[in-house]
Parts: sequence; structure tokens; C-alpha cells
Amino acid sequence: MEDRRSYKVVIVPDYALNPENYPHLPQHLKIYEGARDAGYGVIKMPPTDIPEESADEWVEITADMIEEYLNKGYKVAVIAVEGLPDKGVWFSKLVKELESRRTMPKILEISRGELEADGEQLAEKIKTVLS
Amino acid sequence: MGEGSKKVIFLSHCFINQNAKVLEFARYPGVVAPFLDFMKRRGYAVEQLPCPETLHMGIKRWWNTKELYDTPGFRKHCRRLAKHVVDLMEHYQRKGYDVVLIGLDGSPSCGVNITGRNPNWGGRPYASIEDYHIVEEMGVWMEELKAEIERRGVKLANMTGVPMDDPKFNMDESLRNIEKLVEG
Repeated sequence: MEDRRSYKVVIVPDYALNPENYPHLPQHLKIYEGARDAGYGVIKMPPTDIPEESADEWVEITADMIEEYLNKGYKVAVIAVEGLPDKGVWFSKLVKELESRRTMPKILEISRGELEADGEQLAEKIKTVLS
Repeated sequence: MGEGSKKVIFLSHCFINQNAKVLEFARYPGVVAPFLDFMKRRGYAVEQLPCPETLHMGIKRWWNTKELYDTPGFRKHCRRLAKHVVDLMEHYQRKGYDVVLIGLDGSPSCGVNITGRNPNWGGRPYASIEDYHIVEEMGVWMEELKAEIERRGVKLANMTGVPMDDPKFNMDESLRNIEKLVEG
């Protein structure tokens, strides 16, 4: 059978798939839907309220995957969301870890205003980041 | 969904990222959309397991059997990942969620009900899908994850596998089975 992979991967905060864990933010799935419709494979970070030592391990696992995909020519982006602790993806640690490996995916920062605006703009922004 | 009936589904990595599949087996560009959309329509929280195959052997790995992954090194790698996954399961349990685990049936690492064996695979690369023998066993990653779940006393509401790599796989039937399994 034909292999249909997109060669495009996006790292998203837990919020993108489980907004119910973040009642202070808009309760929709627009980030997930934008990534889905643009054909990205999604790597979801864990919830932001897990213990620090556990988070360190997830950051390392995520950095390993980002490095592997970039080394093999896949396109990779990280979606960072304003209003979540460290943008929902342990942004400072993740960037530091990736800098130490001399590799860096595209970063797409989403503001609170964009989260609350109509979904089409957000979907378009997500769609174009790795095109 | 009422309080006390919250459910979190721990899914094999590739249901959300088909780019992690071994070459020739990605059936969707990225997300297995019918699957994920179903989960979110039902109001389930979704967690994604790490992919031990991609982390260990990379994205251009050869096809493998259970025998080829059944090594002390790969099992140690799986146990390290399992510790963090079970930490996350406990995190949800403390919040009152029922935990369900769904693997990828047929996979040498992620199979729950079935996996694939062939004692002759190895050495010079050659593989034919007809020589990948399906057996009623768990894959190596699921064996190690289940062992950690049991060791830590985490109670799973349910655990099953979805045979998405089977050419005869039927998505609608599979979603109906999952709904029955999760809702009881």
C-alpha cells in the first residue's frame, strides 16, 4: 500500500488536544484542527501541571524526536501558546536543549487574541508555517 | 460527560503522528483523523505514548519482528519510557479519570492482542510482509508498559489494540468496538 506520510510534524501543547485541562483559555480545538487539516503529524506535550522532574524527561524525549525528524529532512514546527505556563511546551527548556544540539525547528507563537479570534485566521496561520 | 465518568485514552504514538510509522505503513498524512475526532467528540482526554521504535532506531528503521526488538537494551529503553507514562497515568487517576490504553495491534512493539514474529528475520536486510507471522501476544513495548502499570498498582479501566496495519482494517467497525469498550 501507498505510504501517505506528510513529512511534516508539529509539536503542540496539551491544550491543543485537551482544552478542558485549561478552563481559563478558550474551549476549542482550533489548533488541533488546523494541524490536522494541514496534514501535520502531531506530537503532544504532557499537561503543564506535571511534576518538574517528569517534565524534564518529556522535554528530552521531544528534543530527541525533533532532532531525528530534522536530521532526516522532515519539516518540524513547535506551536507555543501565550497564556500557558512556559507557552505549554516548556519553551525555555526545549529551546535551550535544542540550541545545545545545534538544531532548531520553526516556532509558531499564538497569542491570546488569536486564540479568541475566528478559527479561519488561526487555521491559515498554522497551515502556512511549514508550507 | 458527568463528574466521575471522565476518561483519558492513552494512545500509541502513531495514531496522532503517522510520520512515526515504519516506512510503507503510514495510512494518513499526519493525524488518524477519524480516530482522534471520534475521541474528542466523545469528550475523552487524549494522551500520546512515546514511540520507542522511532526513539531507538529512528524514522528510517527497517521493518522488525518482535524477536528483533526483544533485547535487553530495547527493553531497558521501554522501561525508562514506561516510568514516565505511568507517572502520567497516576496524574490523571488522582484527578478522578478512568485510564484506557489503546495500542496498535500487529506491531512488534505496540501490539496488545497480536504482534508479529519470524525467527528467521535478521542479518542482511530482506523482508516480505507475507513472512511477518501474526501471533496472539503483546509487542515488547506493551509488555514492558503493562509490567510497570502492574508494578505501580495503576488500575486500567481497559486495554486493547487497534489493527490499523491490517489491509482489511475497517475504521467504522473499530470505532464501534472502542466505544463499547470505553463506555462499557
